Amino acid sequence: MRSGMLDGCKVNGKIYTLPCYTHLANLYVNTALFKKAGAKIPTTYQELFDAGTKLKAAGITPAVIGEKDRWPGMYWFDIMAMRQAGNSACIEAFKNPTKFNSEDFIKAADKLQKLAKAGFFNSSMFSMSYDEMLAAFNAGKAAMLFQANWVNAGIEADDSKTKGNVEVVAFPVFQDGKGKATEFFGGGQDGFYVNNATKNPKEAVGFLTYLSEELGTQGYLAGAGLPCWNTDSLDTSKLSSLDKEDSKLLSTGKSFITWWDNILPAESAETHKNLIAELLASKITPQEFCKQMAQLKATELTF
Amino acid sequence: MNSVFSNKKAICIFVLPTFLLFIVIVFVPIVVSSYYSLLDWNGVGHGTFIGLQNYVEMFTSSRALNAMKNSLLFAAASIFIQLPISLLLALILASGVKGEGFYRSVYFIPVLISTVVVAQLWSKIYNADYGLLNTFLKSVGLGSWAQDWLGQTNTALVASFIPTLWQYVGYHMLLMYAGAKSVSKDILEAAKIDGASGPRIAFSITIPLMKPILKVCLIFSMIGALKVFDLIYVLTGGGPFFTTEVPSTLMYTTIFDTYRYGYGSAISVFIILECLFFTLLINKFFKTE
Repeated sequence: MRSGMLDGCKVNGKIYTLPCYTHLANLYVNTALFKKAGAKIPTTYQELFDAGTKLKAAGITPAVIGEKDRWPGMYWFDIMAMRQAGNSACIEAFKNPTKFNSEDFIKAADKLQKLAKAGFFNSSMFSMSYDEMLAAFNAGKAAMLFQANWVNAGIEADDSKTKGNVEVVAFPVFQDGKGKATEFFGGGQDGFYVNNATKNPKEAVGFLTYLSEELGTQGYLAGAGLPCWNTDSLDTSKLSSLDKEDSKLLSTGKSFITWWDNILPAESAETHKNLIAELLASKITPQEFCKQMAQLKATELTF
Repeated sequence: MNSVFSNKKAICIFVLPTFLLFIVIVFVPIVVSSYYSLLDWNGVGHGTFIGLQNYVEMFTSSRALNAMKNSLLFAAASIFIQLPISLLLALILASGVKGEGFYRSVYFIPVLISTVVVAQLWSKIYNADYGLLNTFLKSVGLGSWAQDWLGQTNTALVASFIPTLWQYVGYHMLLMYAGAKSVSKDILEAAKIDGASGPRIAFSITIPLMKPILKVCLIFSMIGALKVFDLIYVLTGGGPFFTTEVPSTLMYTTIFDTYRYGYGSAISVFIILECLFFTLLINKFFKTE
């Protein structure tokens, strides 16, 4: 089991499941389009903004969001909040949402809205679905995509126009922010659970441990997800380059926060996504956004 | 034959299977939903009884009221735009134009296509980047009119009306066509001999005699508009920013995204009662005529 993978599986210090594989959200950049616009792959917020300006000047859509489904936009805000406030501050806010109404979160919301106002995202984002977003990126219609590694297969498909032209990098760090490049968005895990009323607990646990490791390792090789298990003994030569890059990024990770709509209670998750959509459309100010975020309900998960 | 029909026991036995099916599939779920609408329940375990609180919330929530307003706008568009078009087409076809059978089939084809397919078709037509509509506008020099039809709050609702109306024009046309055709040829001939023009015949003779069919079309059109779900769900999902939300999509979001089975059930009961109310209203309207 890789280090850090069990953190999300413990309640009161007891391990409840052994996860199989996981997913990580990172920034996908179309290197061919970046070269065409003379833009540099960004490592800071300012570089991200400047890359957007250069790409727009070359007539290329800097980034594509399928905001009709609302969660693609959520990914952008969540990572920016994590870069501005740092992962631990975000976790504190999940436990006490009034903390969302604070300077760092307002700054993150403001930065996202600045990107939107500058035309960083496709103008059709509110009628574009998640699938259409992937189709647009894979067809080379936008230079950046912030998504999880499940998009790798589509990018590297034989009929994809962007095959071989995409690199995956950690989301830029904010120089005035508290988040580090070793903090990641994702890392949530699915695992198997055993009912404590079962007749053969030892056998069940033994089997599920085996199943989890097999799924984790073989699934990784098949491109199903990033491994929670140790992969030193595996032959990873047949893996796609994007999967290998993602795996490298995973191994640098020190802190993981999974998708916020899985952490927040259902109704609050919906409100969170709707507020982000309004932020992207400039229908509310960053201050009003954080005021309403402060009214969300606390997470029911234990951190 | 007569002995079967007059034998009450035989009638009961033959009606029983479908009656049971109807009770189980239609009636029982409605009763159970009505019970759930009185609870605060997340779908798992037991719910807490809260009486009519869900209904109070529904009628004071601006989002729910907006959804109801949208469904009423849909109903109005169906009655005042879709039905007149269907009527016009039905009357023209029933008056014996060339290719009557061909046009009848062509107009009916959209009805046969699955609503999800219709929604996908129109969402591609409306696509802001490569859609047929924007491409056409750009090619005739009206490029400034090209916009994100389904993504803008001021155009999304009207844009989502059009596929809904388009799909069922043929259905109502067919019903009305049958009604128009059933008008006795003698009356029509007599009117022609008296020198009545086509439109005059339509308004004074055909339409009044088609009243029962018109009533049926009105009821179906109204109820279909109040209940519309799959077309909106696939086209816009109720967005952007709730501008195309209708009670059925709100109910879906409430139950499956926020796990509020009680409130969602209240919305579903409201939709049922709303449809019942308008059906009775339309029946009454036609009776007093």
